[in-house]
Amino acid sequence: MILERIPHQLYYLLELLALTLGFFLVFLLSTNFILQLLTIGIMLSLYTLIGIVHHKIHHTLKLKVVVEYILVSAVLFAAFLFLNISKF
Amino acid sequence: MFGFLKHLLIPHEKNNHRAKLLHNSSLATILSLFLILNFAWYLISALRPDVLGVSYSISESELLELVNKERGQNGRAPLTLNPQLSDAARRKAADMLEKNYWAHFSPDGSTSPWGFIRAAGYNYVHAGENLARGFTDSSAVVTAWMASQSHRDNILADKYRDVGFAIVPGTLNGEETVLIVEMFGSSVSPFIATVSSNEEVKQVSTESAPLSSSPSGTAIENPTKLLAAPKIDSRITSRAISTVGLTFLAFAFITDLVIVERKKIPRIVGHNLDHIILIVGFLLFVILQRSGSIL
Repeated sequence: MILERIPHQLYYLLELLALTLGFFLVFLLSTNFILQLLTIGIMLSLYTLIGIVHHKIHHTLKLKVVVEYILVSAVLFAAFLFLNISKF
Repeated sequence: MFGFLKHLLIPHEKNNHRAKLLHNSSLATILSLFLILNFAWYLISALRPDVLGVSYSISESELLELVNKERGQNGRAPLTLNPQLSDAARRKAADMLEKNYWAHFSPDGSTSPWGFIRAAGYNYVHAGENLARGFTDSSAVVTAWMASQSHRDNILADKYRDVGFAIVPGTLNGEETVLIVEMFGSSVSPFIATVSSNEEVKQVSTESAPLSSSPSGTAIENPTKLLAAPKIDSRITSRAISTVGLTFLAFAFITDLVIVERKKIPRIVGHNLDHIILIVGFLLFVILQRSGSIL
């Protein structure tokens, strides 16, 4: 399968670029908290999805891996909410 | 203690070659802790804002002093606090909160800074406006304005003689915040007009409106300062807790990655590098995130 031949380094580089773009967007939306929340939610969902696809391509996908990605994303979302608790 | 930390952070046989902190059960515990903290913080700050809340120290007198200090350091004459301009600033802040916008001109085009100045009864030749939101102290506001060329130009402009401020807490775009409006002006003969720049307007007007009413007819309150000193500053504390917690988590992922890569231990877990990139990116975002914004 062609996708399997994509080196891990390229995957990590793409991930780094996508996350940098996502955080930059959240930074730009600093005057609209609702849009910030929406953007970070979408970004973390995509992060989880891309992580799952990466494992699936390399045949290392297990339920505990999926749960791990979801938990890490959820921790960061909760941390973002906590950082902005004074805005509620 | 060392044994516990080793179990928590270093992969070895007893934790199934995965730092205990990175097990799904531990991640679920961290998530629960953050959710409990969110709930507790919200509840305590709502019920006891004197104990847990945001510290504020913004006042009209401090802003005037800091602005005039900057002007003095740049060889400009000090500005005089003008009650009509302060009233115009309050009208502007009330309009932004009422119509839910963050701009010099309202999105529907119905109001402009110059309209508020005229409505407050100030006949101007030159006028300008600086906006800020989300700051917690006066010096941070003036520092941010001075760091931006257009706002700095307004503060240091020779053509202005008067200034007015409004410090108004409220909800904008679903976010609890504090708006700071600074209105500049010079009022001389209404028959003299000069050229304007993008943040000011050349306009001669003899229109006036009663000071007690806004353009929409609503009465304007007169807050000249916002001071709050809770025992615990919720912004600083939540930032510290989040940063320390996530740094600890990133450290555990990095340690785990280095040790397992060196020992070549096969495991079925998520890619540590994925999580490291995400958490480090998030921490950088937190560090770089501005406390307020200006316009």
